[in-house]
Amino acid sequence: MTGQRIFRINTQFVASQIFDSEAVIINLGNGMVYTLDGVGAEVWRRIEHGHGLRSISIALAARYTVSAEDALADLEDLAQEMLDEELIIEESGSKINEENLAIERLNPLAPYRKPELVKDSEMREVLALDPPLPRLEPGGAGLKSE
Amino acid sequence: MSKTTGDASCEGRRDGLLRGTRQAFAEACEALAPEHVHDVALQFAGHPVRMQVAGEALAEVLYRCFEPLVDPNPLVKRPALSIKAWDRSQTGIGCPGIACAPDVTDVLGPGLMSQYESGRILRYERAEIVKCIDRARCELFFCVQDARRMRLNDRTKPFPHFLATWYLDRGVLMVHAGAISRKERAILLAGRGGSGKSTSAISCALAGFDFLGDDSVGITLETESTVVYASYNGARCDPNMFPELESLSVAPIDASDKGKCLVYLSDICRESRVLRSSVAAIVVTSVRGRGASQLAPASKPATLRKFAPSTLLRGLGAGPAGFAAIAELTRRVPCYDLQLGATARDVPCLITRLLDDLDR
Repeated sequence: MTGQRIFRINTQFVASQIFDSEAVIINLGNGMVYTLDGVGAEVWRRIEHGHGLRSISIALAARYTVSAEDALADLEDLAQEMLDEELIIEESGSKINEENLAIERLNPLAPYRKPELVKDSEMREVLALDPPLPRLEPGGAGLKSE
Repeated sequence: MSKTTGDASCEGRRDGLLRGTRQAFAEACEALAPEHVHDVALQFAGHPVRMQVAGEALAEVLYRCFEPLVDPNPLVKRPALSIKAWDRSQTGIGCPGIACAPDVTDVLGPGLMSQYESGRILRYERAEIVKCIDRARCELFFCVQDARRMRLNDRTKPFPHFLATWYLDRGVLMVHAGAISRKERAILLAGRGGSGKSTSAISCALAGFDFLGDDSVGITLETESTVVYASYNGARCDPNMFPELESLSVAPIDASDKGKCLVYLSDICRESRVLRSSVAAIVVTSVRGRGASQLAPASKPATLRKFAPSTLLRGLGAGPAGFAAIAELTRRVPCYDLQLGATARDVPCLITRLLDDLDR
């Protein structure tokens, strides 16, 4: 599948963990914490695996009560929001990974809810006065005991 | 945040970057009679630590800070960390600067944190305190202007970022949580600042629980269990919350203490000296302020959201690996929310019942 937009996680600042159907995402650069649940967590997992937006929309249409076209429109909105929050970076000319996450067809289809990026800015307010410092490499190069 | 570029001319002098600091500590020790220079053996997460302090007042502050970690039977072995501390007002010796431009300098609270040689050497300074650590030589230097005027925050945790970095270099993650335990089964008390962690921990200590820390403890994820290590002995709390501790507590020094006093938990848990325990559950605290305190199961993602940020985002964080470790910890043990009611006196009962239920 060619000509589709593909993204990668901004791993310089962003770390994430997925619990069943919920992704918890933290931006270690600015203190923001985000949640994506249900459809959103599945989208995040597929972006992590290098899937393009159109591929993801087809996968969603196979599992949820949504058409691929409508899902793609929602994905474009979500991707833009995640770009604005510097959670993801758009890739140009990257290979699209179609293999690692197979499309699981559900019958009957699960109810679809537009993926929503939920933000928690409590730490950002704390960090406005005391910003995070550059990360140190634990036990990294040059730290052999003398 | 200001940044400066490293000075290439320092390349040949890096082994000696803290030579002047080391020399200043030696001079501070020589400036006092030998009985005023204290040498204490400690254990941090099972690692031997040697702490030398020049000056009576500072020795008292640092001894009390780490009192439960004092090693009563130290073996003669090379320490994994040497802490060298002195009081300028007692010794007349200050801490010299580092004659080399740092790789990077950042604002950290009211002071400046500089890194040299890709983070091997860290130096923090503000008007009344200078501290440096050489992570490769495992030496930590701490110089205060006057120990008698140290803020309670500094008395409670004198070098938190450097110690957390040293722990992390040894695979121990310092998390922003308190910990209390009974029969070597610990409850981690997580939550953001002002959420009632210290109040809950002190309440439990008064009720006979072992105390491992009120808002900063070490964690290791072992194959069979998750271990929490005792850290600091002091806890800061609202003096109105525990009037029975008035005679034991240190009153606020200045406005920066925000009206909170300092209590040393070794004064409360006199009989116990628990240095490590197995984590049985994570309890995230919050203050409701009315009615009885309530404990209820919590989802793991919600717990991670409340637990991880304040550990990872203040000062020198542990980065994505730290986030993954906290997530793994959250997956391993059951999670709960504790809403503190009008008083925290009922918290020990709730925690006792929780531990009993988990043991069934």
